[in-house]
Amino acid sequence: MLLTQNSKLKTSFMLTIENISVNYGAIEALTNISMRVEQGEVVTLIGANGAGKTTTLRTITGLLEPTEGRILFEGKEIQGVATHKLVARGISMSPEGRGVFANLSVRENLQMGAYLRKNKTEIAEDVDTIFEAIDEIRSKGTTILLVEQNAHAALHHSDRAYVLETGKIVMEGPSKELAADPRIKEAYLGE
Amino acid sequence: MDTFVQQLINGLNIGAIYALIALGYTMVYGILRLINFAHGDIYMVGAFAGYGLAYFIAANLGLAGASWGALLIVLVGAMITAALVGMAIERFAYRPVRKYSRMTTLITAIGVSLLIENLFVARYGGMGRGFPQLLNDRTYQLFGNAAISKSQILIFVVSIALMLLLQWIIYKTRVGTAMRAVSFNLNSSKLMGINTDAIITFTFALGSALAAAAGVLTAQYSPTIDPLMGITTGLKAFVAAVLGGIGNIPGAVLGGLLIGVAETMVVGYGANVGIASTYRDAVAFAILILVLLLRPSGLLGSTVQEKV
Repeated sequence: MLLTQNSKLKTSFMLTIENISVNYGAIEALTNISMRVEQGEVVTLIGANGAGKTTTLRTITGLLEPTEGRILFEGKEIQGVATHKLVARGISMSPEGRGVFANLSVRENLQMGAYLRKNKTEIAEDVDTIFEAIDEIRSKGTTILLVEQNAHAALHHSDRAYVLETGKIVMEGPSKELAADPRIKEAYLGE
Repeated sequence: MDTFVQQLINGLNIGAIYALIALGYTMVYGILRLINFAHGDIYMVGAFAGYGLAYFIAANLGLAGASWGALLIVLVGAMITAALVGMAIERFAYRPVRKYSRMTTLITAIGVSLLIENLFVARYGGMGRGFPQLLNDRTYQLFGNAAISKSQILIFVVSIALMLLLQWIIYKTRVGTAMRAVSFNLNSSKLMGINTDAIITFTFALGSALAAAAGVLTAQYSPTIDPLMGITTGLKAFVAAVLGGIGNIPGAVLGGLLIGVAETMVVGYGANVGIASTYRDAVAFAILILVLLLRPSGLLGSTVQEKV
């Protein structure tokens, strides 16, 4: 969960949870929980399966409502506030199981991640720079096997490449050479 | 051959109407997993809104009789009215019970349907009334003995235009992408900052507007409307949505066209195989039983596999 400071008002307590309880029907999932996250801290909440970690996160993000207690973000009460409004105020969480929209394209998934941003040009730029993340990960010494449909970007950001066609490797070699190969250009790069 | 072409034209025509209504069922199901049983009544509300508007503009704007201008005002006005009614139903009937079991929302939907029907019967009476003709309807002779009327052409043109517009909204716009995201995962969508309540309301508005267009278009072709006209037509459109694969948008269109053609083919050829033409309304439900037995997910329905 990321907490982004939004208000100009400096508060040392970014997030404060005061005595919240959460029920699923008759079952009490959280009992009288209190905790706080100060500006700039990294705070971790640990616990076994079923201990209530997810319930806590879902309550902070407004997906669940506590039966008792208060949650304060930058000094203001947020329990009962709709999730999408909290996202706009600076509370964001990557959903469990990654929450990928499998019925949407990769690009549309990225665009949904930028749903609240207004500047279309900036969003388009950021979506296109997703491949630069590969260079960044590599610069930290990580080895990568990149499996990708976007041939142009993949060849541009890799050293060597294999081309798979109907279950067979049909070409292999340095990415630069493949990118210049007329057959690749015609079949994958649309030139 | 002439009969076949004629029944095909008639079938595709009535099928286009079913398709327009089926789209609303399928979109709402896709996003809420709710069978909106009041949707057929929205089709009726659309026709009545068009009826009221036609008399209103005749009296106040002097747009009496047939004219393209009157037709456009009536069509768009009925669509807007029905969209507002659909939004109100979602807001005041479905949203408060959304957090309860699906059975609760289903029964609420049946209740809303009965409420609308009986309000209209109480207000306007159960008798059919003539819808003012806004089109100088005439028939064009095609090859052989097949013919197509102006009102049928209107149904084709307007329904295709609306379907293309819907396709554009759902696949090319930000709100459409959000609709698809919400239909896949409500909570993930909320965490992206999507106002899911607004998206759900918008979905009801879209579906209701399409149903109202179907209502006005039908009233040009067969100009009698009554408060219970939405029951059978709505059920058939629901069957069309199930046939195509409920939740699947192209499926709703395909299902609608197939049900329409099946119906008119029974009228045209049923007698040859011992099925009286009076069975035309039963065809859709026979198809429903077959679909549920043989392919419950519908023709185009499938489950989306999550890729790693």
